Amino acid sequence: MSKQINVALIGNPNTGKTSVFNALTGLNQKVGNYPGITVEKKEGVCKLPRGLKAHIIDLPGTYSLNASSLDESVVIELLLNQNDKDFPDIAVVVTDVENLKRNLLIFTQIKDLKIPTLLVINMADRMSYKGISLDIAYLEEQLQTKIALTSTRKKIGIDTLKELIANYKEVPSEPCLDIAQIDANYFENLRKAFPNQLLYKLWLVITQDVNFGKTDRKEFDAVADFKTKSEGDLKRLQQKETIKRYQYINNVLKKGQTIDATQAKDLRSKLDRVLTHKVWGYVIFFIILMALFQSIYDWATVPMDMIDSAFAFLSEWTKDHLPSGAFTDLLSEGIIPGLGGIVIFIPQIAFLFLFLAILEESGYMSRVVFLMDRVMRRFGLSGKSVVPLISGTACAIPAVMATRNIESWKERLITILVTPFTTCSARLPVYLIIIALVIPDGSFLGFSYQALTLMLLYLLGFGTAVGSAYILNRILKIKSKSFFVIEMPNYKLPLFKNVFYTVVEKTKAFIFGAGKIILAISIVLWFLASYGPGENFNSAENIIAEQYASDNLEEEDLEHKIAQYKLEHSYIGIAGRAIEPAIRPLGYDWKIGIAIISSFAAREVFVGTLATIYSVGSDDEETIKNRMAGEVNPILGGPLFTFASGISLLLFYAFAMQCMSTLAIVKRETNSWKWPVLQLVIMSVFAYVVALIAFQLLK
Amino acid sequence: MNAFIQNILVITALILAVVFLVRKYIWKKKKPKKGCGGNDDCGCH
Repeated sequence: MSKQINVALIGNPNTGKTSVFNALTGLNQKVGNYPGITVEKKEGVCKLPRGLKAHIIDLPGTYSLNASSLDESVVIELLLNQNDKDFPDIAVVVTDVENLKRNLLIFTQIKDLKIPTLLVINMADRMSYKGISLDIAYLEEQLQTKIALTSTRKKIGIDTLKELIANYKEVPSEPCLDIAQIDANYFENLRKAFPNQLLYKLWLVITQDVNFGKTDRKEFDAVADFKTKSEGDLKRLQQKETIKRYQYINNVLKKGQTIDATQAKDLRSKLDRVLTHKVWGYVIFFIILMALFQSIYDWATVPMDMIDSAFAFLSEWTKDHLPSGAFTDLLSEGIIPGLGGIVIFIPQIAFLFLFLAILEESGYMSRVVFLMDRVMRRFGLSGKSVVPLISGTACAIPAVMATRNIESWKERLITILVTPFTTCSARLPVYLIIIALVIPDGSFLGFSYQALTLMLLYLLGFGTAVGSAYILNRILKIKSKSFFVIEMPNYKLPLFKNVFYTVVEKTKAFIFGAGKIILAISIVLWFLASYGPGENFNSAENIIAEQYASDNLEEEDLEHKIAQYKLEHSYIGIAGRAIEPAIRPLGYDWKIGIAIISSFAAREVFVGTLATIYSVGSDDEETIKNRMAGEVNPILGGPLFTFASGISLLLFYAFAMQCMSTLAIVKRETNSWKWPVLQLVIMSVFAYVVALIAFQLLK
Repeated sequence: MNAFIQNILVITALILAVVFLVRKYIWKKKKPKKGCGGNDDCGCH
């Protein structure tokens, strides 16, 4: 009986490796376990031409020979141990034609172990759908191997593969990469210490903690001449090795593989062609954004009004039914209106996250990142900056942290500095309430003015971020480069469960994160607004009674005047009036000034602060929106929230760095106070100037 | 008596609120690092 050829089937997960195994072995296969571990061992026999037979082992799917799991260590253990009865005469690496670049990494590693290696390019039937063409002769020459183009689904190429296995002695075993390139000194010492061993095998032994037969890791410590490196240095060398391998693969595929997306015929490619088109891609994205903001307004208005009224009722009920006193006032005038100022935005926030989760789940968001990459490059940023900028629409803090995968320090710093311009969800309550107050009803092309304004604010934030990046790119003289690779996921129908969890989690984080701060600030604000120093506050009733003695005011009007007088002479009133000269040119009164200062803790505190300040001393059952609409400008006499002051306020919040937590995270990420301080000063000054110009032009 | 209790409650709430804000923004308590195997300082470990 002739000797069976030992064949190891190796490849990344999802390359169709098991289908190739099934096609080769048919029913001649058995499934067991590797000794001592629960990893499944599949082996079978394949009949080859000329009466030859192959013993085939389907090894667990692995991305590389840098083992991180038990499954992967099984592969390395076999490939490093020539004494194993299953040690392959030939390795067959199965790849997916759509992910050739990534799949070739392990191929180059096995080649470097000098094991004869065949390359199977599977799912070849997808090539015409994907517009992929391969120069097989060129690839065989460059990769020093034999290639079988297969499709197990269409039963193509299996006979060729059997023929190649039968002729395994003709398959070259030259390595792809000289591992010594990555650190000449280190590998020279290693070679001297172990002159009879294959260098790449030694390198794998050093970097893997696997049990591989007769060679024992302790041997390395016994050789005095050779000093191995620290774990961190070894990891850095491994990264360098991976980069070298991808550079090699890129060079080979540059000529050996052509992908013409215009020739692709599958649904995904057709959709991609439209959704990432240089004109239609942006038009569709713009329409989706419009629909998103319109829906936020159309669908959220009813629940928002209901919540607003419920809090107004609760506040009134507390005042009427609890024993009168300071704590009841704190509840009805401080805590309830303050919390109401955040809870009313639950519907809008939930709808925003619902749409974003659907776009993310469906795979469309990756196309948006790809689209935006084109724009970003013109402004000196790479596509990697897009992810932080887009995730900044939820919150700038994780977005700033997401810049960590940008290799270029310059690009990373610029992205960190400009990310707070993107419209985060904390700005949304401010925008929604101000837009509702100052933007008139009406529509343009079916989209309401209010939805259009909201969308313009989002675009303004993104535009300012990109524009600032362009300026910073010119100013900062740091030389560095990075490139952007994104793997597009397949389109799929969003899973309801995933979308639901995302919406609940994000809304909960927003409400509870801001809720605790708002609760605390409401208590402090109420106290500062309800108490004050000196005669003016303590004798407010007498002073007002004397002042209006001749006017015969009704009791209600008189009480209102007293409440206003007390508020103005309370601690917060004194502080607010001290800063009023600085903000009056922007169209704001001292109460807005206090709200701006308190919202430095978190932007969403703005509405809650105003709700608390306007509630102090008031007996009316009023919603937050109505209270704000009823505020009178102390200088001009008309409504405080006009079109001019509203736009000024919107622009101020669009540009100002009103978030202490973001500054703290910028300090941590840049490891310096210089950048957050610069960010704070520049953004605040810019916001002030723009808001000032807007009010002065529009008033 | 009622006014006294209400004042006590207000002062307690005020102290708690101030302490919360000071600890959140000014005097932060350092969290001990948990040994979960993560070492990338991403804040998620």
